[in-house]
Amino acid sequence: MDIKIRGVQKHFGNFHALRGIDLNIASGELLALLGPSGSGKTTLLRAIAGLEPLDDGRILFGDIDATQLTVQARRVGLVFQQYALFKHMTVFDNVAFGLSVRKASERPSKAAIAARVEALLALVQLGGLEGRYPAQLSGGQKQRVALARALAIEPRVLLLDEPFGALDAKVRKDLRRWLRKLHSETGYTTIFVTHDQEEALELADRVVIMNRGRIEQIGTTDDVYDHPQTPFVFDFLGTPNILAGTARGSHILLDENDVVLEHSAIQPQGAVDVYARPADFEIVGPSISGIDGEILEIQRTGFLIRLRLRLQQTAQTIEIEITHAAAQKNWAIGDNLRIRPLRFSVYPRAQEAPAPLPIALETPGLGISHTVADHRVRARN
Amino acid sequence: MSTAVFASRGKTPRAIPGLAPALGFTILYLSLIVLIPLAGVFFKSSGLGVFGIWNVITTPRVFAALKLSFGAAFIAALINVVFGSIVAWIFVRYTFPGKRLFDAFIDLPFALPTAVAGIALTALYSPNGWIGSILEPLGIKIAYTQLGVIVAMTFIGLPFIVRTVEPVLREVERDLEEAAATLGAWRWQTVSRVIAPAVLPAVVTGFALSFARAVGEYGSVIFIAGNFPSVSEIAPLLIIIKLEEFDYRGATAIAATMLVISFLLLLTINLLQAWARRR
Repeated sequence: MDIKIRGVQKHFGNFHALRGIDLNIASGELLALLGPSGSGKTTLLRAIAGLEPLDDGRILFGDIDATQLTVQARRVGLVFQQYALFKHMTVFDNVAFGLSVRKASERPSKAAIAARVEALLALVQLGGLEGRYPAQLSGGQKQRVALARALAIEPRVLLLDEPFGALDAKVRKDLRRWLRKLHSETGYTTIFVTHDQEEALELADRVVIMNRGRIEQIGTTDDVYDHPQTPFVFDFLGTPNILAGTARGSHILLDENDVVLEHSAIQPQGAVDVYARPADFEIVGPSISGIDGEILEIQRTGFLIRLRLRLQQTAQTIEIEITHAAAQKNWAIGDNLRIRPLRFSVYPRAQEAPAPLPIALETPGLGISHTVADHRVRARN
Repeated sequence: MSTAVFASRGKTPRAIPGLAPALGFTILYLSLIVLIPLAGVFFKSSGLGVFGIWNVITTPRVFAALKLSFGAAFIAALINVVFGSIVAWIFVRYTFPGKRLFDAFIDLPFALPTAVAGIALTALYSPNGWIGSILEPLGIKIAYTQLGVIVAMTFIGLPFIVRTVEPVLREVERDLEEAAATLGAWRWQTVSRVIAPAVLPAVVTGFALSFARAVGEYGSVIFIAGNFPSVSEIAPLLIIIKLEEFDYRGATAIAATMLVISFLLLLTINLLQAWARRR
């Protein structure tokens, strides 16, 4: 079922959690809501589930106005980070819960419920564990029971709130791959919340990047990675190097470096920041215009060599990654290199810190050094 | 240190040291405070023999008192289960002005001298008291009846339910209720199928504590009960009466009977809980 979100607003007291969210989700899509803590992604998910009443805006399931429906009538499958399994019930009773609470006229027969539970447990690869209690299961198994329980009601949409957040790295990776497979088999429209960009990029058809209650960018994995529309998105998807410059026409002159970069796309004019990922630099010869820097640190990690450079003109420190093939064998600390960004994004110069960035940056020239406190903003109590 | 002692004797060292001194202390303490006085009761009453005890407790007056003590305590504990659980629920789930003040009031029956409580309740519920004067025209008499006994026992038992249910209820995650709601469960289904089973063991414990307290209650009850023999006279009062008549054997016979019945009831409740936990 396709889902349309129109102008959704939500406040928690003075905190503006959702500031006008518009979003279309296609039927059968696997969509990730990605953002730092407090960005509103969980609030949006809970609003879709009906657990947070909206201040304004509408949510449509197909042609049905879900905003008019109670939580119970929305028929959404919600999976929580902490599983939220009913501890006093067996795995069987947990999965059967959604069917067994239906009123008598809509409730399937006992045999039909049993058959459905069995099929779902087979689907989540937990056949034979019907009689166990949640306390007797591992974290990964619990989350699969929670998923089977959510699927039992044939939800209009499957909502996953940081589903792998409580699991260890290895299990998380397995479950991720398994969920992707399950999604292609069952085809439920699925929305999941995560703050792990790797998870979002690996799993989702499309990624919605949220920040401070707004959507920063919506796009496929390639879209958001290759064409980040805002500095926030660029920063959230990886640690960027930020170089100050001035843009005129299709040229950018980097401050104090006399380096001219060509930029084909339409770009902001005047004072700009050039964002480039560590891997998107090349080493150039002395005859080509580039940024000169002195090697401060060399770190070899497998096929990559990570270099920390101090730029000669600005004394700014940047980090670049070069593959073994492109590297010279006998670099030493103190050597001088000339580098040039291969791929980069250009944004108008931020006057002050535009948005809290999730990762602390060492960029003395720009004064951006923020961390977002890791608080879950929720209306509890 | 203890592990080393165990190891030197060639026993498997325990992960947590100090079992022997801890167990020894526990048994000694329990003996001094609980077991020896109780054993004294049985020793004193054993002079009567089983038949002697049977003869004492089957006299109509003693039997009526025992029936009242246990019956009223049972009813009071049931009342507390219902209303105490509601109070706990409200404290956990809602904020309202003066919540901390009310929270402190709950514990007052713990601290108040029971005689004070008894006198206050009697003043309220007697035919010319604030509440009693309203109920009197309706034909309901509380003070100086068995109803009064139940009222006093309910008063002193309330904190036991509230304070045992409250922390367990607080632990029932909001997630569980939200999960149930998204699965289509209405409020009453969530309460009866998700929340109630989670807090049931705590409610049973609270019931047992409240019941035990009410059975042993003396001070507050004797003021409101009126103490008419065979009608509103509780067993603990009868023990005092027997003592004042120098009928020590009779007194200990009633005491031993109360002990045995209380012990069996509490044991049953504990076994029930252990059984419920295993499921």
